[in-house]
Amino acid sequence: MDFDSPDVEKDFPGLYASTEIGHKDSDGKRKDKKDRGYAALEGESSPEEEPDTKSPSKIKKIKPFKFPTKKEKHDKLKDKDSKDIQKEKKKDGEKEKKKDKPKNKVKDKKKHKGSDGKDTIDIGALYENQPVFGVPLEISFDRNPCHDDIHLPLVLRNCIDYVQMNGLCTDGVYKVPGVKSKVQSLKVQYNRRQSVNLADYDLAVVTSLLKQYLRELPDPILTSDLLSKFEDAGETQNTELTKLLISELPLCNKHTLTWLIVHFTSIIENEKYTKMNTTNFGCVLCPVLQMSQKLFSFLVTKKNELFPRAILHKYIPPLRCASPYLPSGKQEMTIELKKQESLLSYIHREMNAGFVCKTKEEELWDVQRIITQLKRKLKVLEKDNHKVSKEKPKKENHINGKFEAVGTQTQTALDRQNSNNSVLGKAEVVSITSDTANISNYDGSLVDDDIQTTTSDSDNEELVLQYESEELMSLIANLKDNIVQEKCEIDRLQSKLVSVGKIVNVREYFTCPIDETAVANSVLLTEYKMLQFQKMNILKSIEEEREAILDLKIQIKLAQRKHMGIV
Amino acid sequence: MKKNNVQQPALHKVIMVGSGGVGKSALTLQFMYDEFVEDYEPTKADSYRKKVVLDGEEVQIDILDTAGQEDYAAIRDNYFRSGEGFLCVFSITEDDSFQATMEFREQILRVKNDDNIPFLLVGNKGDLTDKRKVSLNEAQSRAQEWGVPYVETSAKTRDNVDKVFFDLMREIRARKKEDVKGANGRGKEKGRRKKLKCNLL
Repeated sequence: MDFDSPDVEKDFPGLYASTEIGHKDSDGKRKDKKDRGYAALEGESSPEEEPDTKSPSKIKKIKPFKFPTKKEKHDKLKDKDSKDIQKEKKKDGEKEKKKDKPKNKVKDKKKHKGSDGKDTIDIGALYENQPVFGVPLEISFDRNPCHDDIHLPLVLRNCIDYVQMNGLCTDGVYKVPGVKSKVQSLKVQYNRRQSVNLADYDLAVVTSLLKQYLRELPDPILTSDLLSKFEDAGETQNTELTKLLISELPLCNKHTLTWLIVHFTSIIENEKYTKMNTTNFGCVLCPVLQMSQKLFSFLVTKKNELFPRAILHKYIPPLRCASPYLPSGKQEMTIELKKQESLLSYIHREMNAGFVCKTKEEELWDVQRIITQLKRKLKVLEKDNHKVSKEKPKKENHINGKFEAVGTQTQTALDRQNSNNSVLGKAEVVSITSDTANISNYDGSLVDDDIQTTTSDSDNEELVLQYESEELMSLIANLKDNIVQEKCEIDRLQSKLVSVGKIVNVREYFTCPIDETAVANSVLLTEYKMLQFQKMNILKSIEEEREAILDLKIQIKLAQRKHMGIV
Repeated sequence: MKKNNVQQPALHKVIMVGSGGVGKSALTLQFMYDEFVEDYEPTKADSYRKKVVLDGEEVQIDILDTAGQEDYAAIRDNYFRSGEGFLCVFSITEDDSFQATMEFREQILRVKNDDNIPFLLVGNKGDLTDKRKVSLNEAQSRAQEWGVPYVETSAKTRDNVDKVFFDLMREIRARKKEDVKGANGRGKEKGRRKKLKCNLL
C-alpha cells in the first residue's frame, strides 16, 4: 500500500519530522530499528517484531504528533532513558536474552487475557491513521470493502441498506439531521474497522453518516476530470453522452454513483410518504454529491436508461462461524467461498499493512478454516454429482436445493443466535442481526430467478412451478415474520448479554472457584451439545414435513384446477 | 473477543511447513479424517480444527497447512506469526526437501524470534524405503543440532501420524505451562522490559 504514506503524512505532519529528531541523538543501530518500526506502519510487515509489542510503541509515537510542542520534549527524554536501559540490557548478554523471551511471551498473553479491550484500542488508534472517511473512494473501498462483487465502501452499503429497509416511508428522510455525537461515534467505529450495527441507531443518524461520508470525500464521485463533462451532458439532457461518461468512471465511482442514484430514486418515488421530491432532495444532497441540481434531477429522472438493470441487493457479509452453519447448496457455497476469499485477502492486506493483533490472527485462522471447509464440501458435492447426475430429473433437484437453502438459512440464523447466547460477545450478535434481516430479500430474489429460468419448458410444469412459487412466497412471508420475532429476541438477549458481561467481568477479579465452574461448565456443555443434536433432528424433520406439505398443497391445487376444468 | 478462556478447552495452534509435495496435506488429512489422498494438488493454505484427547484432557488442535511453493511466501509470515508449534516436514525420498528444512527453520525463528519454539522435524514417506535418499543418521544429526525431536512418518500407512501431532501438542502445552510459571513473580522486570521494547521500535 504505497498510497498510505502520503496520507499519514498529511494527517500528521509531524510524523516524519519527529522520526528525525529521534535519529539526531542516536547511533546508527537505533536508527535502523526505528526505521523498521515505521516501515511496518506504512505497509511492510517487519517479521522480527512481536506483533503485540509493536502496537503500544506506535501509540506512543502517534500521540506526540497531536501535541507536538509539549510532548515531543517528553518523548525525547524518554527516548534517551530507554537508550540507556537498552545499553544496559545489551551488556547482559545472550543468556539473559534467552531467558527473557518466554517471559516476554507471557506478558503478551496476559495482556490479551486480561485487557483485551486495551489491545483493540491500540489497534483502533492505529487504524485511525488509515481511515475510511476522508480518503479517495478507491482507498476507502480497499480499507472497508464489501466482500461480494459490488465495489462500494461497506459504510455506504450499510447506510443504503438501512435506509432502503427503514426509510422509504419516512417523512423528510435525509433532510432531518441526526445527533452529531452519534454520527461522529459511528464514523470512528468505521474508521477503526469495528463491526457496526446500524440498527441501533436512528434513521437520521444513518442518513447523516452517509452524507458525512460523501462530504468528506476528497474528490467528487463523478471525478474531477469528468465532472464538467457530466455537467455539460446534464445541461443538454444528453443520455447517450452521460452513459458513455458513466462507463468511463473508475469501478468504485461507477458502482457508488449507481447505488446512490438508484437509492435516491426509490426515495423520490415514494414522495407520497417521504415528502421528498426531486427538487427537495436535490437541495439536500447536491452539495455533498458535488453536482448541480440540474445534473442531479437529470440522473434521477433518467435512471432507468442510465442505469438499466441496476438492482440494489442487500449486503450479506461473509459467515463468521464454521462447520454446521455453512450453506449446502452448490451455488450458495460458491458465493460464500468467493466472499470468504475476498475477506481473507483483505485480512492479509491489513496485516501486511501492519495491523497485527491477536484478534486479527484469530480471524485469519477462522476464515481460513471456513474456506477449507467450503472447498472440501464443494469437492464432495462435485464427486456426488458425478455419480448421481443423470438419475434424477434435474428440475426437482433444483427446486429441492432451493428449498433447502431457505430452510438451512433460517436454521443458520437460529443456530447462531443460540450459540451467541452462550458464547459470543456483542460484536457477533451485531452481524447476525443484519444477517437475519438480509435473508428475506435474498431468498426472494433467489426464488424469482429460478422460476424465471424454468418457466418456458412446458405448460404443466409451468403451472406446478407457479403454484410452488406461490407457496414458497407465502413461506417466505412466514419466515420474514419469524425473522422479525427473532430480531426482537436477539435485542432482548443482547441487552441481557450486556448485563451478563458485567457479571463476568466482576467474576474475573475473583479467580478462585475455577474448578467448580469448570465442572459445571462441562456438564452444561454436554447438555448443550445434546440439546443441539435434538434441535438438529427436529429441524430436519420440520424441513421434511414442510417439503411434504408443499408437495401436497400443489397437488391439491392441481386437482382443484382439474376438477374445475371438468365441471 | 472471547473472554471465557476457562470454558473453552485449550487450543494449540500447529503449523505445517516444508517444501512442495513432501506430504504436509497428506499428513494433515490423514490425521484429521483418516484418509489418504493419492492425487497431488498444491495447497495455498488450509486450516483445520479438531477436538482430541491429549493425555486425558480434552483439547482443540488448530492445524494450518501452508503452501510449500515459494509463490506464497508473502502471506506466510502472517501465518507463522500466529503459530505455537511447527511440524517441519520433508520427504525422505528427496534430498532437496531435506535441505529446504534449513530455510524453513530459519524463517520460523526469524518470525517467532524464539529459539525454543515447539518444533518437530518430520521425515515423511517412510513407507518408500527403497527410494530413500536421506539417511536416518543425517536427519537425526540435524535434529540434534537444532535441539528438536526427529520422527519418521508415513501418511500413507498412518505410521507415526498421530504421534507427531500429539508430541508437538505436548511440547506446546509444556511450553505454555512454563510461560505461566515464568509469569509469576517477575512482574516488575516485565514492565521494565516492555518499556524498553516500546522505545526500541
